[in-house]
Amino acid sequence: MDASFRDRLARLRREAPVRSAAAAPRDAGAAQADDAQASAAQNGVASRHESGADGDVAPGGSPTIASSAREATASASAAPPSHEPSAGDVSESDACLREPRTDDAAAPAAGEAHAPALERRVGAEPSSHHELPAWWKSRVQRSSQAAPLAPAGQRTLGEPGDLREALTPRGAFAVREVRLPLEQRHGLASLERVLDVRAELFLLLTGDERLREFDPRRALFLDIETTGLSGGAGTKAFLVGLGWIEAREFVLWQGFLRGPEEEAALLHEVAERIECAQALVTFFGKTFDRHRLEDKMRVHGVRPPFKDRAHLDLYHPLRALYRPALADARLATLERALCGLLREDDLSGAYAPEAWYDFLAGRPHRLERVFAHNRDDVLSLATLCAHLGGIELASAAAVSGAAPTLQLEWARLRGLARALAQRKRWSECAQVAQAARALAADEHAPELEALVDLALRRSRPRRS
Amino acid sequence: MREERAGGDEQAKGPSGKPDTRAPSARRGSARRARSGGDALELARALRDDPELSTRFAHWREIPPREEHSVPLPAALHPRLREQLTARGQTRLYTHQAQAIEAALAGEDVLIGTPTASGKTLCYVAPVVQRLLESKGDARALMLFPTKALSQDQSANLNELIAALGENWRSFTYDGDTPPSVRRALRDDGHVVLTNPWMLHAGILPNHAKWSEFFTSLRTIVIDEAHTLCGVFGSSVANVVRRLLRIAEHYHSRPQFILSSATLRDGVEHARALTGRTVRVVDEDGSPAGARVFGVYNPPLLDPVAGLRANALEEARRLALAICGPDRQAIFFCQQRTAVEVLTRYLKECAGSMGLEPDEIRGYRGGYLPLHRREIEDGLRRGAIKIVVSTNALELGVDIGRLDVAVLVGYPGSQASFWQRAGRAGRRGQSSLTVLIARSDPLDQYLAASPSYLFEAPREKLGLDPNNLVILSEQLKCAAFELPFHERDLAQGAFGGAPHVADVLDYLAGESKLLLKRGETWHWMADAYPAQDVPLASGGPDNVLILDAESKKAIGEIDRAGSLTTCHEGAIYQMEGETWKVERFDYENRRAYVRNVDSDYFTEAEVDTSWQLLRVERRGEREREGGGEDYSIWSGEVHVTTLATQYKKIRFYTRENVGCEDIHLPPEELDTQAFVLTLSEQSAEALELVGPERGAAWRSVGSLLRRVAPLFLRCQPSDLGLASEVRSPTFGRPAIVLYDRVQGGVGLTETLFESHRDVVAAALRIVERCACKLGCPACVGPLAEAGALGKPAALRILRHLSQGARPQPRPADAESIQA
Repeated sequence: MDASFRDRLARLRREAPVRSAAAAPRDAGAAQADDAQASAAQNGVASRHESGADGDVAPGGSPTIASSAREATASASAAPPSHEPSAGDVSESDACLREPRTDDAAAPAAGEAHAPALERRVGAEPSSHHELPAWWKSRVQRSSQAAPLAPAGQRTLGEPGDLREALTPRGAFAVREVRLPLEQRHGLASLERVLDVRAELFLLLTGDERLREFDPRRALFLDIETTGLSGGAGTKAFLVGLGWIEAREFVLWQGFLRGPEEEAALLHEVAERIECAQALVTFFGKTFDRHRLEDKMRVHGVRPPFKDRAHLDLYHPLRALYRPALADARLATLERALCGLLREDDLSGAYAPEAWYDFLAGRPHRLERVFAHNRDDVLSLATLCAHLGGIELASAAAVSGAAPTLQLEWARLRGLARALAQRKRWSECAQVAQAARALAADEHAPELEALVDLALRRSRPRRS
Repeated sequence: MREERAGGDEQAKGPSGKPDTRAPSARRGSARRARSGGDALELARALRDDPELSTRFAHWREIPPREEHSVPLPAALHPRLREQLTARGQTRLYTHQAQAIEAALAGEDVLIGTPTASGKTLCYVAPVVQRLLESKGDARALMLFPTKALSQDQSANLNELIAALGENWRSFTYDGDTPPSVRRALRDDGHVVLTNPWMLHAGILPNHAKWSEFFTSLRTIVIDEAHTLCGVFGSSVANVVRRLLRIAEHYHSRPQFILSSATLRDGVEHARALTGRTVRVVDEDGSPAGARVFGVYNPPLLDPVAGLRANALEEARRLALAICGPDRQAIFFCQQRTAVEVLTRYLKECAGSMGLEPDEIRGYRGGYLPLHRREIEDGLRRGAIKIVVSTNALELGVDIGRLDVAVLVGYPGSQASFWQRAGRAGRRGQSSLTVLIARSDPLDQYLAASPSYLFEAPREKLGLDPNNLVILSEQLKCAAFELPFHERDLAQGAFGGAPHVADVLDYLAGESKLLLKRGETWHWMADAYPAQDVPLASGGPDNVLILDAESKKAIGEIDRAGSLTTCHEGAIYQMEGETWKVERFDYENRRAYVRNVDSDYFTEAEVDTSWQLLRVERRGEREREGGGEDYSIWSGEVHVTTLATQYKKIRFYTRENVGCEDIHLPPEELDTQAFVLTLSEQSAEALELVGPERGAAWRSVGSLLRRVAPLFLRCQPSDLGLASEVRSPTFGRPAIVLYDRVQGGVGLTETLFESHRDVVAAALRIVERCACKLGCPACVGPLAEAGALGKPAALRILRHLSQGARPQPRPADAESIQA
């Protein structure tokens, strides 16, 4: 083999996984076939995770190992395939298989008694373990996708700390529970303010009547970490973060799978907890978290608790209010702009699957940072919920407790005005739209003026 | 639901109930010969008496009429269903229908294997609807169709019946065309889901949780046209069925199977391979048929030396003039899309001489849009269309009723297809005529010389190997994603009792890291959606849309492979006698823009397939007696490139070549496994493989091996690709390359590496026992192909390869390749 051939081969090898992914037909297969929202889920969630740099600091004091735990691929010296002669029934069926296209004169080999004994490796009875042929191994190895190379980072070994076992009728799983005083700040915002939310804004922005009775003390904040974003029965939620308020504390409950066999137990527990809550608060959860959990609950015969539950998905209202003033509407962007939270050393959610797989395989892993990421997500649900519920519509300026920039202020007023227009609350709309107009840059002025005009016209009683 | 009318009085009307279009006009009736009568026996007699045509018929055969066997509606049928059938005038069923329905209602798994248009649809529709009636709408059914068109047909039929029953159950088609916005509603409310293997594989099964209620109540699985599930594709689908059953079991249901297919040689075995169940086969056709006359028509020799015969399409036109007319419906089957269009045009242009209007003559093929096809099917059923020219698209169970005459322009390549096509002719109580026109093709010529093969050779056994290790392991990945595997399930024969399941799972857990074994359970353990990366080894519904450049409306579609040779820029796209020139082919977005032109030529593209060796994995060599290499066998990977290079413009009728231009399209690429057999130069000389004869004999051996190998590999011949090179640029000596025609390969040629001696021995026996002197299509190919010394030369090669010692393992180093 010459050098150019080797190069080509090497190139093909490197390209193989990429090409196969790119060439994968998505239409017929409809990988996302199944959910109208699934592709939205992919986009949305993919963008919700920060893809930024990865720090190298391990959580306090745990043993750290820098490693890239990659294992060598199949050895070339695998046992040679065995070639068992076929069993009686096999050769019989093979005999009738042979029917060359000839007439009698041409006397085919068909059905002859001395039909060649077939060396059937495929489909032969397994006589012992590990007799799979080497060619098959290399074929399978080629078609298996290589996992993305994880950036080197600091890792821990063994189970994450502070876990206790939780028992359910469906088995056990592990929980880490911490109680934070409500005064604690998450970013610049304190958790306490979530007690002051008014349902008014939720109702206005979502149109969901079930949110009218929203009670922060009976709400459940939920965020999950999964083994993949693609959905489907093979994707597991291995970490379910829940948050709620008890007296003067914020309880952060993280249910964790120490192994895939604990899935039913965790789902059972989560379903019960959701069942007891009055409302669910998520970020993009109507598209992602809810469906991942619901699907897996169905697989395990756990009754999904979502159908009649009030569900506040913060993504949509926050996006409606702030998207024009921000680069995007990802959680990280919103929490930074609205709650002053700047995460340090956040582990991108894209590495969550790898962390869990490393843990299961007994390799050094980064689960601590996945727990931290999930904790921050749940706490941000509370502060963002507080922010949204703290907006006072009554005041013409529609102020909020946080200190947003002029850009944010303008965008929020515009978003509110549009929401009011949608609900045909014209006189309020006119007021808010005027306030927005006052802050708007020139290029947005015509739009808002038109909205003010419309609102004013509609808010006047009609003359006959 | 028209098929089942066969049992009612609808068809008894015969020609009397025909619409006005049949009424003879002044122009009609000018036909010269036996066109006036509807009776095929007389028609055949007239053909035999015809001084010109009679000489072209090489063979005649008559099959006596078959009586109708029917019984009253089975007592087991639900009263409301009986009522419905009776209301449609269907008071009796053919015996096969009754048997199949009774067995299905009794809970048996059934395969109904009677010919086209024998009322098979009712055999699965009735039990499905009865289950719904009995369960008050709780039972669910899944129906699997090989094409989208068939599923849409049946969906309409089912909904009609359900509406007639006054129920609001819903059947719907769930495929790539189903808008995502309605999918959820369909999943939740659908009682009968009609889909295709690709959608089941990549859309439904991996998301079974969303279908949990459907699977919980799944009672019946229908697989229509089950004979199309064969070869590598069928083997993949068989594994998809295993996954389906595993999921059903998870939701505590055990659905029964109802399969419909063409008549199979071994229905029980095929069904077992496909479903893992032992089915009851019902294949004794109770529908009546008149006498059937078969003629084999061989076009006259134009050039006896070259063996060149008159063009088959031209001869088909000539035959049509003699047999078609206003009182008779005929179907012409062609092997290629282009041939369908050319013949449609020819026949339309001579419609007047047959006493027909051009509109009574139609083309039909898969690429026509659904509405267009429905219109033609309807015209055929009503009798308004007198001639239809079709590809194999009308071989499957599309309902067009039965016709009077079937003309097969060329042998379809298999006995199963031959009988399916012939089965389109034959009305109730009337005789029918089937003519096979032999092309210059070696196989056709062989059949013209030995027509008894057609009537005596059994239908081919379908190659199906669900336990193919590569297919099995790829499907096991998908299955493990869907539900974990437990050791105890495997001990109980889970996954169709396939061998090696535990080994494969261990391997996927150990080496591939896709699974994790905890205790006795293998869990999916990767961030991936495997069904997306595992193909079913058959194109899939990945079509190119043909758009009118002016109106921007779609006028047709074509599969991707076909688009390379029919949609390149400059191509003439033909449809029902009209010609469209392709102005732009947007390959990336799968759209071809065409403009209606009046072209006096059509185009034929040339395709160049080349291969490159990527890697050699194994090699075996046999030494010559005096030392040195005799022959070698290799297994490894190859990269196969298929490129449309240029196209010819060919004038209609004269077939004159009026120009030739290049095609600029990216190649289709395939990385796959291959088996190579090389002969050393010394041995080639010793076998007197010299001069121009040498290439022909070597190629004969190659195509013979390709034809014989599938019998050992349990695949279809089309699953294997072949390149025979007399002096291979890669190997520097004669080489025969056989490769898996599936991306990545599925181990077919690996198996060939082990069993090549058996294949060679079988090939040798075929040639040795062939009665021909100088070679025929049944052995090394006809004289024109294999050359005058082709047969003895091929015999020498095969004897040499099959006698003596086996090749011994040798290192596959670079030096040995360029020996």
